[in-house]
Amino acid sequence: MANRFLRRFATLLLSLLVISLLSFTLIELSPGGAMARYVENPKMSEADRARIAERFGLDKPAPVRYFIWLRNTLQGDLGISFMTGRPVLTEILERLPATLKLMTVSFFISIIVAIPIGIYSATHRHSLADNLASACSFLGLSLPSFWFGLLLIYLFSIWLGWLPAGGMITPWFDPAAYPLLIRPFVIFWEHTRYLLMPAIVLSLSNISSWSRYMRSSLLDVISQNYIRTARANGVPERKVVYKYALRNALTPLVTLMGLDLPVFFAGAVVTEQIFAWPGMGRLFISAAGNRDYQVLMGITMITAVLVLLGNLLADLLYSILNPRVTYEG
Amino acid sequence: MFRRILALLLVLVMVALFTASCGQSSKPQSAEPLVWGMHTDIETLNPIFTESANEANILNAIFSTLIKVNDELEFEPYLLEEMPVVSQDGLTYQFKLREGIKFHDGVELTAEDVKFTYEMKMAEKNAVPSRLRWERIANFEIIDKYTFYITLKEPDITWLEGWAYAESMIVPKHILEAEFIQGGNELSKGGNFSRKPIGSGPYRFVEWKANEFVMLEAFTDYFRGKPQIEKIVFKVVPDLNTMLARFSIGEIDIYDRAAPDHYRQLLKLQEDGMPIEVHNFPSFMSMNAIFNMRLPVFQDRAVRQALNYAFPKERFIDVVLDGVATVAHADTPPMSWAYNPNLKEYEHNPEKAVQLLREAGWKLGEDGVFAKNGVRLSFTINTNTGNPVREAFQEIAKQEWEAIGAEVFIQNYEAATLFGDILRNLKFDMIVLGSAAGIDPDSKTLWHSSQRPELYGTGQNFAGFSNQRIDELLEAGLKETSQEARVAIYHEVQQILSQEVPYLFICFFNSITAVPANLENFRPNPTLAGNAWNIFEWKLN
Amino acid sequence: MKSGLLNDFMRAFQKNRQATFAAAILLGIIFFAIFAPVFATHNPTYIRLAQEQIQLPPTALHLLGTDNLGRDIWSRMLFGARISLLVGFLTMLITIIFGVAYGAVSGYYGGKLDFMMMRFVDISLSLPTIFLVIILASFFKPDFFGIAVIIGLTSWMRTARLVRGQFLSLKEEEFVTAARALGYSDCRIIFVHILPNVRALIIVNATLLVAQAVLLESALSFLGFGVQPPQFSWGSMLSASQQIIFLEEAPWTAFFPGLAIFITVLCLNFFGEGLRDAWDPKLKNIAS
Repeated sequence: MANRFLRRFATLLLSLLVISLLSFTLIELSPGGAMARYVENPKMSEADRARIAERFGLDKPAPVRYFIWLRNTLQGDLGISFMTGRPVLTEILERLPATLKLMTVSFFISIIVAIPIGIYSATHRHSLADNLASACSFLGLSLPSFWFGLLLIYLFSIWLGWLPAGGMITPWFDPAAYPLLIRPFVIFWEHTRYLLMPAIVLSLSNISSWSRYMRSSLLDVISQNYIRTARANGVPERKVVYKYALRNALTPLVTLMGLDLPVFFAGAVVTEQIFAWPGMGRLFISAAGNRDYQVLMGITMITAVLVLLGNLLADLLYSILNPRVTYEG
Repeated sequence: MFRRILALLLVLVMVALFTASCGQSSKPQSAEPLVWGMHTDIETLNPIFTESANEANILNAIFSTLIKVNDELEFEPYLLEEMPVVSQDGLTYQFKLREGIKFHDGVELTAEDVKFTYEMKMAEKNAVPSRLRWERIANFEIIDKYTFYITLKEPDITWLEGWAYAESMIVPKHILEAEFIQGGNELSKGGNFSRKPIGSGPYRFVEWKANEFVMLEAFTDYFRGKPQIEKIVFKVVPDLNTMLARFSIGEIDIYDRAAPDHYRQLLKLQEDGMPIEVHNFPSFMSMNAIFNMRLPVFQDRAVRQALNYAFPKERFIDVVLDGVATVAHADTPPMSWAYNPNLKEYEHNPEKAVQLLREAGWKLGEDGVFAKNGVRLSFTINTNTGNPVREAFQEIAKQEWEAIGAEVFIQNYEAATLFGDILRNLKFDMIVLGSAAGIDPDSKTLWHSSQRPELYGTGQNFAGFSNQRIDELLEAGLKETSQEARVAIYHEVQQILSQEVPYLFICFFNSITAVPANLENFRPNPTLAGNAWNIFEWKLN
Repeated sequence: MKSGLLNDFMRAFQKNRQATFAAAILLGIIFFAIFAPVFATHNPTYIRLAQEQIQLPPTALHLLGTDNLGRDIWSRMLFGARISLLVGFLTMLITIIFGVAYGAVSGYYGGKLDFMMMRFVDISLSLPTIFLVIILASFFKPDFFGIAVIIGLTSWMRTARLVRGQFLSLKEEEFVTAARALGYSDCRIIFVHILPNVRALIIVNATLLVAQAVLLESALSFLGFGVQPPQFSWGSMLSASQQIIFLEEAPWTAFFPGLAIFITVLCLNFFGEGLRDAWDPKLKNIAS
């Protein structure tokens, strides 16, 4: 088992190296290269530009710059953002909690909703509920998230006025203004009301695909021999499903969840944009617009690390849940 | 087992709730603050590095400039006792500061701070966006605590104006010098002072939550009296539609520089009874299409005039900009004192356009495109991608001009390439750009024949315009000191420009700002100073 | 070969009503897209620059109303369908061609080559592809073909994996051993003998890929990184309409393009699933 994880870890490092090389090359190839942003400003003299080029180390050849960047990254220095002059790592870490918060809540919503639906659909196959759930899953997978987001904003913010249209928190929110007894609820609601719509939009596609996967996985397992044996032996149906089948059915789902981690980040980019959620996704889009290549590379690398770690975690969970299954190289 | 699942789910729900609730809660505030909506987050609060209009607004509250430009485009002394005295030869300016002006930490502001600001702008390692106006200073001499002289390298009437804008705000030497030295004689744009500024303005800095908001509170010892409004928050809302939505429900109080197509919606809100005031006033920002007059097809004045006649400027403004702009006939905005209201105008008249072309010897070819001496009326319009207004211009122009016998292509580039390569290296046929005029009507860099970039590498005469009379006028305008004489000069400049049309002058944008009806003393300012220029005298009823 | 394929489809349709219905709608959409000039009531790019002409609600003259520049939305939807669908199909082709070839080679040869190739797939899969797509699209501002290439470059991995899995198992089959014994070249064996047996998987995968590509292209265009003017797709129509959606005056400008994307993707998904259902329920767990 240790061997396996060592191999996995080696792959992880290799992946990160490839990703870094790829990001770097892409930005080098972009129109205007790394100096792109400063070329726009006609107020700057040639000397100003040269000064800034030197400051950000842009006058050295590409391969040298790559290794400089790599060495810096390993030491924890991801460079300086063109846009704000602050360290890239600081910029990202400031926004990472917001994105993680959104993704975590979305993740849990997805699990909480998808698994029971999947189980119910599997155990009540071809019932009305099952068909309805199936249909809804299709709808959820086909719905463009940005359209859905806009519709929700229109409905709940403009028309009904129940929920805020964007942002993460009211800057002047003062919990001390409320009596002690209801304070926790107020705090909770204050955070939730901003989180609700973005989290729903982000969860939609995952709920759809996970619930269906849960259903089919469970159905698969139920048709296995050992389940029939258990039934034949008189084990009550409920126990059969939940004790034996479910455990085995969950394992492929865990793998899928791991594989779907990049989907969360992808969804977050669009969702954060629509709901003005101050996370990494929005930072990425503004960096792409401003050609702030240090930030772009930084976000790409950090996301890649998180995704790969997530996969590693999923692997771990997988082997815990199902130690008998041999890992297929 | 089912119960266990239920229990597990319940645990998951609790975890989700917990996660949802955690995260920093911001500082408790007692009074509800005035909220100003910003379109993008700012990059720095250090005036040494500032570049953006958003920053200018916040900096107006935190810092002070020597002078101010008010909403009637007049100069007012601000940190100064009186306007500076200029020597006969136009080279030396004498400045006298007011006494008793304090920074937010209680230290007094003196001439040393002004000189320090200048030194920081010129310090070699500082990544200052532009040194142009600072490089003109030949000598900075301090006489006493509040008096100093500045001598320029050459006389420059336009130089004084720059002291009114954010890039010239005075920074505290006693704080920033230490940071400068510590950084090895270098200030960093993201350094400590940029995130926690100390100025002498009416509001002191409280908090900056990146990509969220900047919070300020009134400065008690402000030299013109503590401002009435206790707290101000500048909130980031990157999407203008979301901004409008939040404005309409009262989360944002001030919606500054609104998108043109929000104007009608804001008016409607006002009509429906929302207690707001919507300001609509001309600004100094304009949009133009530049002809590259080096090309044969644009050398003929008839062509340039015909294209002007064939484009529906009024309707463009009405539909695409929602009426929130004014038609331009030359380069000087209507608000300027040098504006000439009697210029040649090009009302939408496609027949006249065709007539002009025919009279100039252009003949309609078999392919439906005009031609003359082997040159076809065919060209490409360039602009930067991602700008819906400019893209709309292109599509409308193409439709209208092809209807009168031109052949039009559209080719867009992303901004870096457009400005860095296409514009700078004059690779365009026709390019659509925006620009901002200064208060002074001098436009030598745009129209003087020596300012064509291909000649000496400097200048912004991208059109390649060369007109002897214009050259004479522009040179005279810079030397002339009498306002009356200058008015006459620049009136004639505009007259020639409207005849020769080296640009298709499209429009001057109006600036739309919506504020609460009970906000007193809000006076919109069309210059670079921004609408927060007099934030110190705002009051809420 | 061809009749076999047709029989497969017929079988699928008979079994699954949903798939048939979805296929019908899809064919309808494609038909309208192809014959857009016939069905369009106006010139889709013609701008009517007058207050009375812009943002009109659906009427007899303008079936779906007009947008913010007075252009007829119905006609734009038809022509926009061309780009949206074209990008979708092109992307699918690029993905399938590359993914299938990759997976076939990897699965057929197995061993070390397979190991290396699959490691590369693993690495590629863990790439945050949306970031790379946005970087590429924002820097190069490509035309619709470029966008298809960009999206395709980030979608081939799952296809490769699937095909490789099939090849791994199929290459042990008797007919392959027989073909080898007969001296056929590897290339021939891969493409002529094994591949046809995988066609069900590929077709299902391809259908779902089109759906995915249409969604991704419209998201890109919505963010402003996709097709650039004067070209337009449903996604960019949605982006342009975003400004007006909050106008309670003209929500239809955003509603219809989004709806079109939704229906198209929905039908593609239904169709793909239906095929999968009909041909091999066992594929359910691995073909996505």
